[in-house]
Amino acid sequence: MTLRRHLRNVDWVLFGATLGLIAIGIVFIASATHQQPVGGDNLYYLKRQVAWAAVSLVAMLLAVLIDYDLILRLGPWIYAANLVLLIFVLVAGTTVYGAQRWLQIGPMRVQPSEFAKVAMIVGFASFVAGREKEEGSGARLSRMRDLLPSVIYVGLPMLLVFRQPDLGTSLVFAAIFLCMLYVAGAEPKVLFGLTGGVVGGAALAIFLHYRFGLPLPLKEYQLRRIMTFIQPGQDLRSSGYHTHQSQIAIGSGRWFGKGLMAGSQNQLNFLPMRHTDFIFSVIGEEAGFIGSVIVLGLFLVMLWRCVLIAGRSKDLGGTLLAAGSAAMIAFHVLVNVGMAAGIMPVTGLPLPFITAGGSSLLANCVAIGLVLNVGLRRYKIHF
Amino acid sequence: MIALRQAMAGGEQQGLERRLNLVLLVMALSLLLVLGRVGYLQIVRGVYYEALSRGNRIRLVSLTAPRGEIVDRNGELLATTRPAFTASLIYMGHDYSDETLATLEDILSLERGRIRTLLQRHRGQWFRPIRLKNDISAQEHSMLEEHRHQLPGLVIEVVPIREYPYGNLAAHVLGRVGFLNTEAQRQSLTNQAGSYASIMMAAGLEPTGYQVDDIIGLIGLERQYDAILRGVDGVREVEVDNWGRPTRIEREQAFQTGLQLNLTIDAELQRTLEQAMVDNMERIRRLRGPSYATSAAAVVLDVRTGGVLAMASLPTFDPNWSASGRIDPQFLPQLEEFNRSIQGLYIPGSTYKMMTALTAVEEDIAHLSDTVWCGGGYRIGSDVIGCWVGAPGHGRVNLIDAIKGSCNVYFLEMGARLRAKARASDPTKGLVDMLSKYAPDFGLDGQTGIDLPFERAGRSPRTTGRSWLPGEDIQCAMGQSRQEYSPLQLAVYTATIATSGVRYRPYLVDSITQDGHVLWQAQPEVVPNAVEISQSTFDLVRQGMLAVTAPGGTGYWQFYDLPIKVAGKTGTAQTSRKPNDGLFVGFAPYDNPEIAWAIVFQHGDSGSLAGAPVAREVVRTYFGLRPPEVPQ
Repeated sequence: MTLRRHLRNVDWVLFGATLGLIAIGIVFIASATHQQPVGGDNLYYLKRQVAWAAVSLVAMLLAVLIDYDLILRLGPWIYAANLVLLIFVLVAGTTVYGAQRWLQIGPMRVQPSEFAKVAMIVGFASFVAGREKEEGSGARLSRMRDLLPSVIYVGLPMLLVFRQPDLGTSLVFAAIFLCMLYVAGAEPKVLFGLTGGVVGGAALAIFLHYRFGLPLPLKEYQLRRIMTFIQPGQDLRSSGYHTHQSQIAIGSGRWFGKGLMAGSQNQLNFLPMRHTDFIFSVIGEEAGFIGSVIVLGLFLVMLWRCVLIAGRSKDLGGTLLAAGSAAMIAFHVLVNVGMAAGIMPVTGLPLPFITAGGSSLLANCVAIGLVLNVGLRRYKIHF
Repeated sequence: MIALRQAMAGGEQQGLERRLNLVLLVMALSLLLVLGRVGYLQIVRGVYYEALSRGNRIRLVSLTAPRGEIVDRNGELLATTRPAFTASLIYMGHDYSDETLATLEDILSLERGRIRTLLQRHRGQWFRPIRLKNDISAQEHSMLEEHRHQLPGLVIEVVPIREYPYGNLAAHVLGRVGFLNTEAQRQSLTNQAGSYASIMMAAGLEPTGYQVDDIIGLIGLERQYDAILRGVDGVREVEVDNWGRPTRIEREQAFQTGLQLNLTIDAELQRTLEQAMVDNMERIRRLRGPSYATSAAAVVLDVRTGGVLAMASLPTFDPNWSASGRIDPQFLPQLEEFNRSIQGLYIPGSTYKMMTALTAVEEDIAHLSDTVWCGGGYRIGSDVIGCWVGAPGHGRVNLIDAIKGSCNVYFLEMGARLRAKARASDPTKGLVDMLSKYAPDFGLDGQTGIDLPFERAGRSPRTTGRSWLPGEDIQCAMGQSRQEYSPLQLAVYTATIATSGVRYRPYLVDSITQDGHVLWQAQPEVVPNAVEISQSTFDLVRQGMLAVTAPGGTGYWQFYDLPIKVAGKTGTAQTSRKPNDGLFVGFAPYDNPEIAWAIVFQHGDSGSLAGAPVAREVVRTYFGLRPPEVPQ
């Protein structure tokens, strides 16, 4: 029967790694927050995360069940809806910590830029695959001017996210964009040229601004934010102190950690935002190097399975969905853990599946659901 | 699988696999990179970090930014900062015993349990020192040093404290600072900060949020411009020893001083005004008795811009007393801090008669050639309202005579005629409807929009559905009915008469500067008028006001010897409590007006006794008519 064959074709390793990461997240959120009661409830964050996990798993199931061909065909609509949503956030969003990233829907606050990443992957996969189909496959992506439509396609939502301002998420867009185009066969030299050009141009403009007063279309404080981004931990007022404390937490975990709910950094309130952005510090402190290896190992397994599915996909659209999702997760892990360990700027990017927060968990689960979907329907013909 | 392979060109598929392998490799290397870093922290430097975490000794010390200075129009310093000692507590990794806290509370004379409350309030922020008391005395300082061995974690920091060099000079304008302690305050300050965002950006200051126990502006300009004045605190990461003393500065980020406010206030004129008010208050009490002249307020405006030259309110206070935020909320001197010049509402009395005159002339009810016979009283129905001169009255008066002598009968007659005209078209209307056609254009309706918080505003009276009793209605003509205005409103009204109808929004901050560089410059702002009043009408009314200071006028004795032509109007308003309030409004010079003022003495007995002498001193100082002081 189809069901049985479908079940056999599900990538249980990928699914298992996802469940494992979600479970680890729930445990450490409990450890990080059981001393911060919300409305007298010590388990507030724990309960909320469990509820979100349940919702996310249902969403994942939906993402598996609907044939991804159909999803890809809806790509342009998803893309358009995404743009509208992002514009709406800029106009009517709630401002938290100086950035307009949130939308208040009844009692819930959702962060549309989390979903924007997944919407981006779907939209761009359908866009690139569609163009390849029209023009025949091959080296159509090797010249700069062939890349231009792609740059505009991704650049638009990226700019909207940048305006919120959310530099971190707009960089996620860039990472996804580069990975997907490379996998689709774009000439690496052109891609590197493009990246180098943008980064170099921006660096030159900032240099000229400080050196010779070149006018920039940025406000002074926005510029300073970028400088803070380039020099992580320098800005004591916002995040420098936190990064330092986070490193102390991770380092003090040593090989085996101090044990669950026994991290002094965590429990004594020295760690900031410890159930969200800095959750990895809690893991490092309480579960030590062994725990860190397990978490990063699970992520590696997840990425490996995603790339494997990308390679086995029956069409370019599926390949790009899987590769884009892998790029998104990999970039988040790199930046988030790197931030906690003090080698990456503080950007507010969550640790996928682990950081407390519904929007991110839901979006990542949908992404994994799509990858599972591609794996499930890897056979072109019905045999 | 086979089908797929065949479908694609062999090379194509190989290329894809090669690219995907490279992608996976890059991702794996990224994860390895961060794992390597984590391993380095945990294994290579694990012992070091464990030691650090065991007695976590890294603390963040806030470097309080000095508040921006406030200077008068000539650069004279009205508010600055001075360094002071502050006692703080640094969390040392263990709880404090009750004895320790009790000792501290005794030395610093804080109430019992205060420190526990503070510790509770700063839960989750223990990496920052908790400020117990700002601006401790030398005695407290030495007591703390004596007991230092019992008080681990106690540190004494030097922080800038607000200082007002002239004590209570312009206290109500400047306002004062204190602790932020309610959520409502936090919200309103945050909203206010938003409106100055562009100036902050131009200055390179990144706005920071407000927290409970921050020192903030509570009233006056300190409150209005708090975001501008407070600057941005710096921060220093330090390692502390067992006693909480910083042993090593790890990193530091400098503070940014707040921006400077340059006021339209003229400190010398302000001093004159306040002194004249105090002197006159004493004089009236000496002449009349202690229940007289209980409070007073005055505003002097530059009629050409709307800039406030001086603004005072009595009784007053010394804003220095709460500069450190060390105050007992139970002893808030609310009576003194009440800024009567923008928050007190007073019945205008005869100072309102210009409004009636303007309305009557514009409505074609009164002409200069018309005269009214004042026999000392005016009959409305069965009541007779007396003219203040009593019998036998002013005799035959025209408009100018009526303003000059403040003849009630004339204005009541005009009121009655205006009422009749209003009722001719609509029997539910009355005089108030006629007046409210014009009065709002003079600032007599709603706030003036001055850049001070908590402005209260009187409204021009109007009928709301039912017509007023004839007496009630007609008495509006002499400003003695349901009208109530702030002294600032009366000053704006007078200034608008001086400028023939050009009404400026009054303002106090002329510019905002940073190290002498102008970031924001106020532009005089004309409030659009809806009703046009002809120049000749204004001329007529102004002639009346000039006559007030001419022989026979109610203000003659204060101004007869000055070489400047002063136009004015006295007012003696009956309130529910005796004695009467005394008011004086005016402008000068008559021919080319520069300043306008409104002065109100509560229970000042009369306008000529209470207001006019103060106005005289203002005019003398402003126009440099004071004989140079002889050095002693």
